[in-house]
Amino acid sequence: MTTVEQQIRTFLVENFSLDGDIARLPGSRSLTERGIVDSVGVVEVLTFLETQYDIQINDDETIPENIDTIDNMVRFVTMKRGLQGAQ
Amino acid sequence: MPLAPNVSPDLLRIDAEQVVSEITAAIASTVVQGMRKRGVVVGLSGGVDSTVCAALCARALGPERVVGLLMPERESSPDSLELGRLAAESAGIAPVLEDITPVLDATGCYRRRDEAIRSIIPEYTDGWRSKVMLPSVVGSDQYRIFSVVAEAPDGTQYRARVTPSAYLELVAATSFKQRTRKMMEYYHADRRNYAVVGTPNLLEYDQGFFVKNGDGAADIKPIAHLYKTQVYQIAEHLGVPDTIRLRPPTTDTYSLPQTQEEFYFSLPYDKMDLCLYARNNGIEAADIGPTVGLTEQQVERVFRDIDAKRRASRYLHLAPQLVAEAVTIGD
Repeated sequence: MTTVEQQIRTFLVENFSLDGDIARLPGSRSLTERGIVDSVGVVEVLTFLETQYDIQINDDETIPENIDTIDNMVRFVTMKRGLQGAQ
Repeated sequence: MPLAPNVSPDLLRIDAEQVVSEITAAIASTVVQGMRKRGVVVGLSGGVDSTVCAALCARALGPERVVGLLMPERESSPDSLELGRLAAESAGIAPVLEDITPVLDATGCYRRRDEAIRSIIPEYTDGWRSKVMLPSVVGSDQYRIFSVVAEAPDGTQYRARVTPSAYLELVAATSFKQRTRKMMEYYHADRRNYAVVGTPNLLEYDQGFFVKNGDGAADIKPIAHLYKTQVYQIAEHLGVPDTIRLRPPTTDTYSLPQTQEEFYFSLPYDKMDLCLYARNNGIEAADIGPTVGLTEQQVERVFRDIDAKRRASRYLHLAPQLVAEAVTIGD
């Protein structure tokens, strides 16, 4: 497990799971369809990612392909940091 | 392209006279026999839903047993008060005016809201106006995240995506408006031994477009089973004035003009109604699409938004939860 994935899982467990089930959640499982993250939760996730990884997430990037699963978040953060590092 | 047989644009057409007859009978039996109340209080926003509810109650109970409450505050559109008076007049009921601005000032509604806006738009100050907006549901798969739009006195607009704390504070502070209005409705109901009417249509009720213990609170909700399109049919049948029927549905909650479409539903109500009907009746996105002028993919997005709002608003519909049965309390 990468550091980014571990940090995201820790954030989700601390903020969205009272029973720790997110710790065992497959990385490909949708967080919104399972009702783990609601509309307010999506804003919390965005704020976490922007703050934790010092990235700017544009409105058109707030799509499921980037933030609906743990795997997607890891991929998205890695891509954003790579882009910013290249600039 | 020919329409599938079950998705005619007229599928929400109702027999207005029959529906009015059923609703007025239900109001009379529920309020008088079920609740032992002598009349009802209806908050009149100047919109079609509350006007229809007032007219239905006047038919059911007699206009002398219906109070129409007008509850403007300093950020209300001037139209709302004028149209509220017209609604009362058209239903033949007595309007009562309660300006709720002093209550909202005392609770800090405006101040708390403004502080929340300033946390994401630091330039925002006295004399500015604001509203919150959602992105279009059909344009992309983008999550529907609120933004605040603030307008300076010179017309310059600023927009910022909400933060979690700003969003929650905004909702909490602006909900003072709906909760204060409901408090006033119960005051005027209690002093007359009347019941309080809630005025949501099915679209609002189903999708959680109300404030818990605010406009969501009531003793009876006479049109909560009717799609908005059907409420308009009832309005026409009851002779609700054109100026009320033709006004775009508004939230009348924020200081900048704001339609319900841009605040919550993201589609015109007639299209939302048909998509909700399709979702409720197992009609495929591809079949309802041509009727509402959307592609299959766009309707799928609307369906997902409907499901998401249902999940998010489940809490709003929950009655207070008991941890064990209270056997002494009957129906």
